[in-house]
Amino acid sequence: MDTALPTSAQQTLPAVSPSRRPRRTTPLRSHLPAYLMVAPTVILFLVFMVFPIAFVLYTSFLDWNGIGSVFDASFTGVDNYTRLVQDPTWWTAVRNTVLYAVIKLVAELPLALVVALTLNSGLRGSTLFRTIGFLPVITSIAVVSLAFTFFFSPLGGAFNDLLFNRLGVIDEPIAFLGERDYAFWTVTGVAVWHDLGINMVFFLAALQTVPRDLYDAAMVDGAGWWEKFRSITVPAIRPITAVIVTLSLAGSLKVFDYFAVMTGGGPGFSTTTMVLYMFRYTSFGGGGLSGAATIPEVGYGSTIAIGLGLIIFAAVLIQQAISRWQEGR
Amino acid sequence: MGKDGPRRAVSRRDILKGTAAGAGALALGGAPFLNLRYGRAQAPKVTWMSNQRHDRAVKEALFAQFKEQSGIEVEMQIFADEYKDQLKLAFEAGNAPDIFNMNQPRQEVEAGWAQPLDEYLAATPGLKESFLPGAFVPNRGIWNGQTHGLPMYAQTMRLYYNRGIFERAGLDPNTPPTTWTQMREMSKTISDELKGEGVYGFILGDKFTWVWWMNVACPAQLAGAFYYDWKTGQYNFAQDGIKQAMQLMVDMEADGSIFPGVHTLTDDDARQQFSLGRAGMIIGGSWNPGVFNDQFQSTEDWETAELPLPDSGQKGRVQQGIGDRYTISAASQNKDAAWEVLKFMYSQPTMTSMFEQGMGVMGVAAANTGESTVRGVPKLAPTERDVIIPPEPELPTMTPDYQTVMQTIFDDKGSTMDQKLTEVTTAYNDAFAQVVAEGKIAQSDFVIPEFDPMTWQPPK
Repeated sequence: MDTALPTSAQQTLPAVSPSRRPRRTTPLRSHLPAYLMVAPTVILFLVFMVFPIAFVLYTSFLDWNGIGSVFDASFTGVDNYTRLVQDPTWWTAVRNTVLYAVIKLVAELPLALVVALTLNSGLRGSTLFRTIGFLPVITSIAVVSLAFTFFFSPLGGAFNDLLFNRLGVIDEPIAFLGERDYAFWTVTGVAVWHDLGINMVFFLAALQTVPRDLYDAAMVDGAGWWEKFRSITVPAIRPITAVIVTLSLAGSLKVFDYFAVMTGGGPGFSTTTMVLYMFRYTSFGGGGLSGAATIPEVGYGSTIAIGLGLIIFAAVLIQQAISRWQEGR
Repeated sequence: MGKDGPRRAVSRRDILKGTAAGAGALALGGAPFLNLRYGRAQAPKVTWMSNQRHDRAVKEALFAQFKEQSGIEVEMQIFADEYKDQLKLAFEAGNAPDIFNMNQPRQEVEAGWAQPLDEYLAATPGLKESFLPGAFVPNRGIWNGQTHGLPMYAQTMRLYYNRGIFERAGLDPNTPPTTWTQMREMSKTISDELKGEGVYGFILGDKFTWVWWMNVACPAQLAGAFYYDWKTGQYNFAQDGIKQAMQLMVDMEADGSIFPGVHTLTDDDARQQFSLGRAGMIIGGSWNPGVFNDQFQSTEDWETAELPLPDSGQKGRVQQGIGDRYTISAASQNKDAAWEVLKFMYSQPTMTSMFEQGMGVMGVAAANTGESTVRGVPKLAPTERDVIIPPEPELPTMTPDYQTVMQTIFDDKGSTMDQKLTEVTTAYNDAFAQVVAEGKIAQSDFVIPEFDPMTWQPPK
């Protein structure tokens, strides 16, 4: 390095003999402690993330039944992918899942923001309301789904009892989870209710980071509620909103449990989702009670998993691109 | 048990007492097959992996008795939904059980998991012959020319009806429906009379659509309509018998006779509602009495009957399932001891004891002549209306499967029946042709030119 030191500095530096010069360390050696510290995480990531994804990718090109050795399975090239593209039920699952994710984004997140804004406005009893709003989040999805299965039951379910017996607004009890016209919307409604609390808390945390001074100054300048929200709140919470949207989108596209418990993907495939459809192929169950044996197709199930992964990846990329574009405006 | 005799649910104590009695009978007169050669010091432990929980208590008691006799201890490993994963994990980890219930027999044989049983059966005269005819045929019990797995159960399909509900609706509790029209009329009568109390004539729970197999495909067989026709070697879901059985369900729904919200109920839910006395009739397999008696502790006065016949008369018989094959692992270090366990379990006294305790219809023919006092069990035994059908072709997962198509037809009130049954027929035949073309199965294995739904008998 030929950077000239000040003369005084040169004079004060001790002379270093060639034999006592510090040894040049390799980057590996100098950073060894850091490498050692991250090694467990990297190893776990490789074992539990990279390897399974690579394995699923590999098996997606195979005609593999999941029982025999994967090395004995026949390679089928892109046949599974061709089949996936031409599989109408897969596209039904994609449509249902995307619709679910969109509803969660356009209905749940704004609603969560509204609730958070309300609770952040110094409302009396806001802690109690916040706790109530968060309660569903800490309840198991399976339990909630099962409870709503009873709630919406056409025979003695509380909701039908209200509509039919108390209010008299329907002619006969409705199987909200068993009718094609209602099932998807009913399950999605339950999911929005259940997940609202966590997003409400995220938004509330973000809102509480916005300095009050800004609102006071805006008020002095004569800004109204909408001006303050548009010019102060939205820009301030935009970064965390992008994170919430990303998490919600990725989670929604992987939805499984609500539909698995409440409808099983039916009636027909009217409420099946991408993960439920993957489960249909990867969870081979033998001949079943009918005695007609079925050839398991775990290879095709892997192809569905890859398709699912690609769609989530693409959706998150698009969402992040939109976020960056908004930040640049 | 007479129709007016004492009726009660079987309790765990009954099961244990019955097992003890059965085991005592075994000790005295039974088990000529048993080869009691292990001293206590050298007795091996045999692991038994299964996904069947309903018979766990009975088997545990039997295994305890077996240990007393032979010195061989049997350790049961029971898994439910995760069975297939646990089984695969055990084999891949080199920790295979000595005996396991075959989940995907063909694939497990091809993977080398199962030990061929031919030599063991040859050394045990009479055992193979004791099973129901059709237990060991190519593609069912015999794969690659070798015998694999001994069938534990051979389920029959039955109608279960609630005598108390029949009586309250003004019907004769001793006269269950014998024809499809009677079943429709009785269901309507029950619903008309008792709907106000939340009681309906008929129930099914098709949240998981496989139940259309037992509510349409099985009744249609009595009209001579098997959706896979061995005579032609082709699928045909558009046969008149299947359409008529499907129409019966559509008509009963139109009558308001079927319990509401069938798509929201699983079969378990439906059986629970039946057990609680909220439905007059339900179709199911011979596994149901155990469910009604033990799982749901039903106190209702229900009874078992044969499936009603088509109005045009019987033209075929209902398929009797034969499965739950237990076999020895090829990797087992205790094969001889494992065989001793299998010989014990499949001996006639043991099988009879399990039948009498309401575990199901057993794979060993003579066991089903046992006398049982457990509600619903005596009428489960195979009759002339039951037949073990030839194996069906093994297809990949069909989407949609025919059961889901039937559910759609039900929702469409039958208006799309012709079109949808024709479409699903084409889809199944195309899939069949493809697996044949891929060399996975041979079509000739599934063609029986002389097949007649009324007279065909499985090979002995």
